[in-house]
Amino acid sequence: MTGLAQMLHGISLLPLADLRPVADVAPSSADLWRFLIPGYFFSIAIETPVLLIGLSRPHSFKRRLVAGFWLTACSYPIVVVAMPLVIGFNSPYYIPIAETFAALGEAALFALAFHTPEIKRADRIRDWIAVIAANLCSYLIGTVFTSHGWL
Amino acid sequence: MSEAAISTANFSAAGQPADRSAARFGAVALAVIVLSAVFAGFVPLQFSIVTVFLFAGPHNWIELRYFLSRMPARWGPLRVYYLTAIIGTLSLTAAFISIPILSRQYDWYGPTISNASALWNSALVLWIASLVAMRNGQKVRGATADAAVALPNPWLLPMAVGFLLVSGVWAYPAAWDIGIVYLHPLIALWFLDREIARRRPAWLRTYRRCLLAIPGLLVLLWWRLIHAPPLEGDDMLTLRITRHAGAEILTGISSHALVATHTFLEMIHYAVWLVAIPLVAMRARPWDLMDAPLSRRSVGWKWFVTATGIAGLFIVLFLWGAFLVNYPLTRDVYFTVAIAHVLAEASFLLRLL
Repeated sequence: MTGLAQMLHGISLLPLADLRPVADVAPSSADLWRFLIPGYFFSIAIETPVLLIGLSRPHSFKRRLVAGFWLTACSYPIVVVAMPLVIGFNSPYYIPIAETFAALGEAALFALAFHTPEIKRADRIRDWIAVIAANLCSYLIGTVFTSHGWL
Repeated sequence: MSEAAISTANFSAAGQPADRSAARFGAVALAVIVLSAVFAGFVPLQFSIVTVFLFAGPHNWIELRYFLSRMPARWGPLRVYYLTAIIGTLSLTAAFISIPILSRQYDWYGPTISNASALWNSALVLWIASLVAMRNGQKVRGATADAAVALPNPWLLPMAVGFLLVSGVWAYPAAWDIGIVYLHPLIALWFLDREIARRRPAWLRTYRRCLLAIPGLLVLLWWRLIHAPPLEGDDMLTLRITRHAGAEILTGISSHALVATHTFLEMIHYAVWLVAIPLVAMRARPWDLMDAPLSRRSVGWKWFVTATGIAGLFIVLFLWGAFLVNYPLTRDVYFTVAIAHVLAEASFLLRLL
């Protein structure tokens, strides 16, 4: 989920089309809010396919799709708006904390909403791995995009 | 309740007496609303001091009494909901009280206090989102099989909105704090609306019409007072009252307008709990604690309910005494501890919806 959270580290947020490295400038609260919607859609574009493929059999296609939109909708505002304000955007702790929060938080939320007693333990573990993998993918793709200057 | 059902209740079931009782109720409600606005507008500080002194403690006791009468004897499928509500209320209250204590003890400065406050507000938002989700879940379980399939997963919307609000809490902490101060009094009106709909449907239309007077009077207060000179007085009590109304944050607005608005809403809140809710929703007299379902559960629970009610009465008496001895300090302590009743209101309101 936090691919763009990672990309945000050290790049300008305003406007999105004008993303460029400005490592020493910390974005304002308004900048972070402005980034929320485009960043959200970028993240779900990466994570939803991973969830569609990776989640266990008991989950229908519709549920996998919903999970792709919902999990990021929950974690992304915290990672992109709240955490930069608390931890500091240029802090070396921001990326590790944000990525860990997103992966574990989304795994917990998925279990809360979709893990009914009928879901077997092996399927639950597969779901958690899929959620964590989706987050990892968005992080890595975000890193690649940023390092090549494609965004 | 639909308009047609309200209409039926008005004109057929009870006939003209229902009309007359609704009209009487409406006249009294309107009189209280208008008088509160007049006093709040002309003498906001004095009105605030007097209303908090007289009504703060008793209204909390009536709330406690109401909650006891609404708590089912056996929780059954609501067990997780009630446990989450009670544990959340107690732990959030403890955390809220400990923030000012810790900040004094460890010399916390601005950003640390702000972060602690935002952390508390985040926990509050996610707790409420969880209660809403559990409430949605009960509706899903209560629906027929076909209807339940059509209903969305109960956790989706509450948690998505909850996390979005949490980021708002961190981005605009002052706005959130001010929002709670001004919106909390309105929760009582929502309670009353639900109770009237259930128990006095013939009054519902009248009640909702009376509510329209509140925004009208607020507009009037702000139109007259927004550029009024700030309230005079640099004593601790005046400073506390103006700060509570948000004068330190909303610096572009006259403190007179802010205190008048807050006092007006607070008085309506007190009136709802002290007069309207007992009139509409309580079958037994407030001091008759034996009608509480919990007291019928066992002898132990009967003692617990009785002891809670009596302890509440003693706290009201103690509060009056403390106000007489040191009003500013008691007011500060009261508004810190009173967060418990705000949290309890939220839990019970969600059950009513």
